[in-house]
Amino acid sequence: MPNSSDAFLGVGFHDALTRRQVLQAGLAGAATIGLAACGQTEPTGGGTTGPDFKVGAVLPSSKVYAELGTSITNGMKLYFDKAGNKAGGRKIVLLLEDEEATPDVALAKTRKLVEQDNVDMVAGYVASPDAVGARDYLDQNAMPTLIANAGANVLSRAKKSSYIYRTSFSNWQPSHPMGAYVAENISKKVTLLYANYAAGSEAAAAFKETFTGTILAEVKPPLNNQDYSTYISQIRASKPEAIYFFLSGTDANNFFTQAKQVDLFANIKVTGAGFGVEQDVTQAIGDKSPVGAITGLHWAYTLDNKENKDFTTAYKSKYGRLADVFAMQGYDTARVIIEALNAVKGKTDDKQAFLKAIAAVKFKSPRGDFRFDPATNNVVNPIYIRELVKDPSLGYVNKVKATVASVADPGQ
Amino acid sequence: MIFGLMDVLNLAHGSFYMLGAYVGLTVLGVTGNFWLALIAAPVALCVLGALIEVVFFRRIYREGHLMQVLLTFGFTLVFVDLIRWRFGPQTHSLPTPPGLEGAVHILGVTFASYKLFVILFASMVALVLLLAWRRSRVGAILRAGVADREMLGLLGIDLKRVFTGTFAFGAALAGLAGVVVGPYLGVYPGMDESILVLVLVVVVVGGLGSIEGAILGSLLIGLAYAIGPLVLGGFEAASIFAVMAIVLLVRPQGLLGRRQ
Repeated sequence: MPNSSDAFLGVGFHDALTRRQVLQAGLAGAATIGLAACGQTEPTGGGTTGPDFKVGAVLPSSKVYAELGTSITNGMKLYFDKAGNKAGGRKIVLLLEDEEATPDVALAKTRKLVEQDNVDMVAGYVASPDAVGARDYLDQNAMPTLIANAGANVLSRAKKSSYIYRTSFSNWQPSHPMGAYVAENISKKVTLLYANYAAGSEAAAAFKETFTGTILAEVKPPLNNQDYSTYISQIRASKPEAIYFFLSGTDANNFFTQAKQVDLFANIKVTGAGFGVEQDVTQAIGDKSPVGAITGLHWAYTLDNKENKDFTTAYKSKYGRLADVFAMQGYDTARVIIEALNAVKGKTDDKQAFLKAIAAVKFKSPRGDFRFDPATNNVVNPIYIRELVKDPSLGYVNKVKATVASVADPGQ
Repeated sequence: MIFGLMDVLNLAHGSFYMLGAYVGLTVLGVTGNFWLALIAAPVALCVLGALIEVVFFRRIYREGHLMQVLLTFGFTLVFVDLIRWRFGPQTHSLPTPPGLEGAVHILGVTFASYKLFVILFASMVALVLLLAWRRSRVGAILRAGVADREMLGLLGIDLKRVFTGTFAFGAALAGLAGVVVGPYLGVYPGMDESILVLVLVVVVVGGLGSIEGAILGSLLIGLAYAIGPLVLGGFEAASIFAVMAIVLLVRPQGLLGRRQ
């Protein structure tokens, strides 16, 4: 596994670099402020004349979500590098802190970035409890924040904040269109299988909103479950024509491996939320991947647009592995920062103007058209209905079968 | 056994299990032979276990449980970071060994053949352990060690060697388990934590210092784990700990543990 460990080492190495850069930047920044006071500098589009723009990223580099955090970090760095690490006349400095998967750790790291490192902006949060836990602090400190993964619906609803924008998804988004699609095209007799925590039950609820068939059973293993035999028997006993699943990471690995060993999918079709059949899972389980699975997600590796081709090619050549949806979210998060900074020409002192610029960011993303919904501060996603196939050169990837344009969280 | 005989609380036991799985993964990557991996992992872990016992544990037997918890907890952190540094954070999976890929139908119920193999294999290991524990000289020495360590020393048994051997053997068994579950549960940094709690529960339920207790405890906890979700739906974790709580209330020393 030389590639993956290189990529991982790369993160640590870069950490060291950024810390040194911060010191240098501090000196340079002081010098610039001195000059500015004399009225001798004007921020311009070309060079970097303003003070550094510090982005504090709270992302897991250890514990259960380490792989997701690494992907998002890689994606962010890829776009910052592409933009020359500057925007609006300011140099961009990325400060990384380990979110782990623990709300109090994530909050402590957030406070450290805000209070000690004086970051201009915060980004990250893979786990929903971490994002929800840091939300009040970020809101009270009026800190512009981009959530790069955490999908809890509540962050776009009761707990939405005028300082917090989400570039990833709400749990409602990928599953809501799937209900109607599965009922019309796959089967009306479905058993639900979802990890028994907020994201799983939110996805299941969104699916049920549009599903017109019969739900035969709801099988709810706990998060981070190991042995699925009991749950597989429960699925079998309900005699469904199809399942709709929400599992990700090691849960998806374990379930699909064990389901394959007892040939569960011989006459049961697999549908679900796309996270469970992304590259992290299919590369780990190889020929136990549920080929033919129909899943909804706001991206697919094989999406045929120029931005996606540029992104996946650059990611492969820089990190030596296939990009996944999390890397794409990191890439877009970095782009929102760059676009917003350019729009205000690097002047972030007027926080309201800067937030307005973030809200107005629109671009062609690898996922399609990227824009925020002004009602929820959540990204409006195209949802792709994809089929898992074995590609001769890429291995297991998802191919788009249908597209539901502009899926926006209902906000309540 | 390590806990019972040596009175060492080894939180790194989960790490041995994880390391075994990764040794298996490496050997499989090089040779492509599952059975070779199944032999290599316990051998490697046996050596590592002996090294750790001689270099670290020997110094702290007298320091009490707190010191041991600190040391072994430190080991878990070091091992998991080493693994992540070498193999990355992603999940790997050991391929199911050839011949055991399919499913078997017995009385209308479908079993994965690999799972049947795991059950058979585990029963064999348990049987061998039980026989060795009850019938062999080494088993007798170990049982004597659990009962009265000082007396055993006075009888001219080299306690140091017994301790090193026990520790190394325990590590080897954990490594073996890591490979056996690889095709079934996946191999990833963090698998150590996921098993450790279960193992401690099994030991506490079964009773310290007794192989029979450990076997009985694992059967009981395994059943609770499988039936819990059906009966209690949504209280899987609770069902395991409920069994532990009841056992502790009725027999604080564990099902087959000796009285303190």
